Amino acid sequence: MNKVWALFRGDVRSVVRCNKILLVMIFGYQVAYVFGALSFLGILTVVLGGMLAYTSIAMDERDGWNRFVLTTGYTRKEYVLSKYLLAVVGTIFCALTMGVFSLIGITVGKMNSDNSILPLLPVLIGGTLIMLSVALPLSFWFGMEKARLLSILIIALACGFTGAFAGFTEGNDGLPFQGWSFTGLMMIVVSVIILAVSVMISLKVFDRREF
Amino acid sequence: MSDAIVVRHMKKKLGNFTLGPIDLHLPEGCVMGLIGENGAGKSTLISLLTGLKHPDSGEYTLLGEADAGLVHENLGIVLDIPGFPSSLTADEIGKLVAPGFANWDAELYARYCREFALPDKTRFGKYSRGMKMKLSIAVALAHHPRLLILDEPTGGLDPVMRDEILDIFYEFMQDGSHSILISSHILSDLEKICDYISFIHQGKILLSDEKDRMKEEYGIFSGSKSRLAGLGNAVKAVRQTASVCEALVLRQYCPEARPATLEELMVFLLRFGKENHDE
Repeated sequence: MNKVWALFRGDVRSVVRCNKILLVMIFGYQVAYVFGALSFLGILTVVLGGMLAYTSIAMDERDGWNRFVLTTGYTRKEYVLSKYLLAVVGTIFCALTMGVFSLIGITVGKMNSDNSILPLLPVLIGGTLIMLSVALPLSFWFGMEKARLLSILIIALACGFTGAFAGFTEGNDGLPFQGWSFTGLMMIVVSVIILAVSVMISLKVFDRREF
Repeated sequence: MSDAIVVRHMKKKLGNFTLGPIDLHLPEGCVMGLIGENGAGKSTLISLLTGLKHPDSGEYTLLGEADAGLVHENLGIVLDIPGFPSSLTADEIGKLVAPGFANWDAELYARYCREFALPDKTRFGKYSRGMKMKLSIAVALAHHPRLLILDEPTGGLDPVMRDEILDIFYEFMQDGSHSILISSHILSDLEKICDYISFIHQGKILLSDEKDRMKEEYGIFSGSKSRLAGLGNAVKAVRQTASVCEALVLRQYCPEARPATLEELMVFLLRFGKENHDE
């Protein structure tokens, strides 16, 4: 696990350095969400946070690190797990910061607590992880070049997912808080199961991959 | 003496190209050079030995183990295109790679970085090809490996840099248990450091032997066609033009032949040897 963390730290460093605009954009969306009460932007930041793992894989392929890492004492399993770790941490981190921004918006801003994204966060985390559970095995299998085509589908799903939840929260008849709690819990449980299956598929797929 | 690398009947099909069956062995304490033209299969062979590709059949052992992953602590690998994350500096790359090896020697890595004059603050993506290769070599050596597998480590470098890198390999070989498998197009480099040479052509090993024995055994004959015809099976490859008739021959049957250089051996075996074979 120590090696997975080491790779994860390297990934975070690379992603932060090479994607400053994206990170500023996420931050900007979060601020815009608080001031404009735009749930769509709030939800999008969580999805983008999860997709940093996808970005990291693309950067590795560009640099040749996905191949070279296997010559530096790391195993294929450790490489795959580090990407999943990045996906999970990216998603949860963005969800938590979104939560913090919501609280700030409610307490010091003009945000209506009924429009807050807070009760949605577990659902958002679950949904994003399910989306990544589909996307990551594809990128390990086909490589980003081919998976890019498939990512169009994934982006469409992400947009659909984002739009659907924005509709729920901004509409007048959204689910009551208790409803979201149950849905969120279910989403988390389902996403963890799907993520576990996805990890196993990715490990098998990447184990067979040749460079 | 045990073998650092043993390859038995290894085969790999990649589209229209088939590597093998390859049989090869490199004794411990020796350097083997892989020579072949572009697309001959050198990099494919190295990818198979380093676990980046999986063989269709056959087997190999590195330092007695049948999987590169099992000997990674004793294995230093330099690929033709060094691929570290482009946004990291040499120091950060050292920290990234260190947990991968139990024997990682941070001081040795820092020493190599200093000796190679690798800038501290420059990101890997901004390095020149030579600097990238040097960093790759520093990483490959900093965990005290016993076996180095090098794919074109001196390709694209200027002579001074090549000489520096060859010196590092000399230093590495001072320990009698260390071994190197190196592929290169630069035959003068291989001539300097190799004990064994393997010629690879269209996925097959044409010739694999001790370098000195090879140079004793093979020679270049220049002379008349009638004399050449008289040499029979001692002739291994022929280059004929309107004015010149040269052949790679077994020197024991042709005392007048002069010793062949590695470059001549390569050209005759891979270019003209093939034509003879086709006929």
